Amino acid sequence: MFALGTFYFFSIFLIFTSLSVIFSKNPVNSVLFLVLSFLNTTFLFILIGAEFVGIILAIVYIGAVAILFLFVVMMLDIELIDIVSNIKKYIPLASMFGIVIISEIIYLTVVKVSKGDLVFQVSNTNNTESIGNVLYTKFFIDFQLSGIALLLAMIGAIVLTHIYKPSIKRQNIYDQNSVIGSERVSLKNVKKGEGIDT
Amino acid sequence: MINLSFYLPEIFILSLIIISLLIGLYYKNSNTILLGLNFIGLILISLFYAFSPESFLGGENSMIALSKIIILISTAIYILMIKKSLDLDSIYRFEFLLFVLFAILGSFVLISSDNFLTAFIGIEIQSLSLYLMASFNTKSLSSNEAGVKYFSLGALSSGFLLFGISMVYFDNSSIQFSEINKITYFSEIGLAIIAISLFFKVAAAPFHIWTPDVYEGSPTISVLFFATIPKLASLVFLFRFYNELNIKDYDSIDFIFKIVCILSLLIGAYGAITQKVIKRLLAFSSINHVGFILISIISFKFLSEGTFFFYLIIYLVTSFGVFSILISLRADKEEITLISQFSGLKTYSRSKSIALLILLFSLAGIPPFAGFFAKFFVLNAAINEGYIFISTIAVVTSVIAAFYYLRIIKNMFFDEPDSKIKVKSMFYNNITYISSATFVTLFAIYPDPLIFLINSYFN
Repeated sequence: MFALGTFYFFSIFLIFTSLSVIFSKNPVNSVLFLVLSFLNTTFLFILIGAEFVGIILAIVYIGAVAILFLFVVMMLDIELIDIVSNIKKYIPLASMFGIVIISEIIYLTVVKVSKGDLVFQVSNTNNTESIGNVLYTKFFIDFQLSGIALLLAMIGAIVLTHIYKPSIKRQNIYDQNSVIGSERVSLKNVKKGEGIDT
Repeated sequence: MINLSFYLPEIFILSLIIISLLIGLYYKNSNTILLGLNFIGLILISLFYAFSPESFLGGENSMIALSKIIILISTAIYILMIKKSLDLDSIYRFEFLLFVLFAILGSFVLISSDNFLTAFIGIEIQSLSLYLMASFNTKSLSSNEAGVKYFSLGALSSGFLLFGISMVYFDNSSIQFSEINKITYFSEIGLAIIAISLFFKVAAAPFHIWTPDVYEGSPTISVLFFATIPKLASLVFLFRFYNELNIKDYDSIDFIFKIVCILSLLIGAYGAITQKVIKRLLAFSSINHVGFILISIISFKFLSEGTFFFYLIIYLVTSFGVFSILISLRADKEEITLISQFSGLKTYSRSKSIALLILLFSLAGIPPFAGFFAKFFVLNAAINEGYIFISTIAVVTSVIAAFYYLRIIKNMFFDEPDSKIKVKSMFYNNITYISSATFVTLFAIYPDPLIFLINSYFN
């Protein structure tokens, strides 16, 4: 009973925050609501016993992605968008999609959930351990491929933002370290009363 | 334990990528080394595929092997053209080559995947590198716009793909293709959503909105890539998706396939009529061709794999020719954009205009050229399957499509030149367009090599 109550509380809160993401006029507020909705999702995951996924979601999405969004939104000087003027244009299409999706959900819940397929098998190992068991064995290739995708993303980010200009002076550490003393300093025997030509 | 020998070609491509990355970083003028290394590497892998014994490839079927060979050879030709083409806008950097290699690595993973998770990662690697190629000209606003547009719409479609996969998983408790067999509403909706996402990737109407904009903004050499190699990979995956999951059993998804097929044919033909920009026109033309390829996917009983590959190969060769000509035509310092700039092309370069004439005739499907035979076999298969309505639409739209191909030809040969065109002579581009025009022309007289190639894979 308690679990059900908490589930409903967090899911209704999640729906509310997700709607607020769309309807806030200030983009900064939107991002903060997004953080809140991620947090609610974390609670929902923990409620069904998937504590590892929940904590990862909190760390990755709130700790990194959403904060990055927040920085970007605060850096960009976006004018407050007047949603009310735009919303009329999209209402017919949006309501069409909405009706289709809602009718699908109602249909599916009536047909499917009554069968009780939602119960998953519980194993003896805990979440982290069972993910660790399959990550490097069953999903080895997928795991490595995700690493390749990240390498690509890294190269891409550098290519898109790096602008090479020859005029910019750069420090070349290899050149600096490979200097030999005899190339820079040399001992000259200067006679008294005479200068030295360089 | 995982047998890594199945992944040997992919591992080889990955090591090519890493070696090229290191060479490119530490040697300033490394174009020739990189180019030679990758050209030889890609050809070697394709030879490995062509001559490796069947048992070694294990679970891979002949269709996957053939499509990988096609991808490797066409990429090997493609990378030869990169340097000179990007130098025209002076935006060459060696990373472009890496993106191409990453894209074909993603395509390989996508083609040979046996579950939806691997397929998803393959699609992601492939499309991430395509977004980067679209926005490679960082100085140009339109190129950046194209990249952002492609990225945001592509991310949306990836979201749809994941949503569909999760629905399929809910019903079947598995994402292996071989284990998805429940025909229930959840599976059906999930597979339909996955199909929609794949339609987006191959730019089939009505999920084509991004195509003209992205084609217009991106550098032409990237567009050549978008229109051919990743599209081939996605289409092969769509073919496998349709056949291995027995989409024919799901009436509603089969219906969606037919609707998308008809709409692609119609929008590809009608959308191009009013276009003034050549790359937008070619985008709509590619949508029309995707419609034809979808016909060969849905009529899969009769000679289907052969027909499918036949069309794909001929479309690929023709696109290579058209785009390599387009790259070498420059108006002053910019690339050619408007169709009207083609007027009087024959006075500037007779050989290029004649080659373009042949290639456009082939795209339009006019008899002596290869494009006619490709369309003929597709329609033959469709009529044998009883798709009379779709075949009629295909014929009508290819007549409409002939109008805009012929208009370019009219511009080239019968109009007075009104704008200055500079025809750049680039060695590899010249070789590409000459060989592609020759292939398209000689196919009617001597079709044996291609037919032998396809027959040797599908008996």
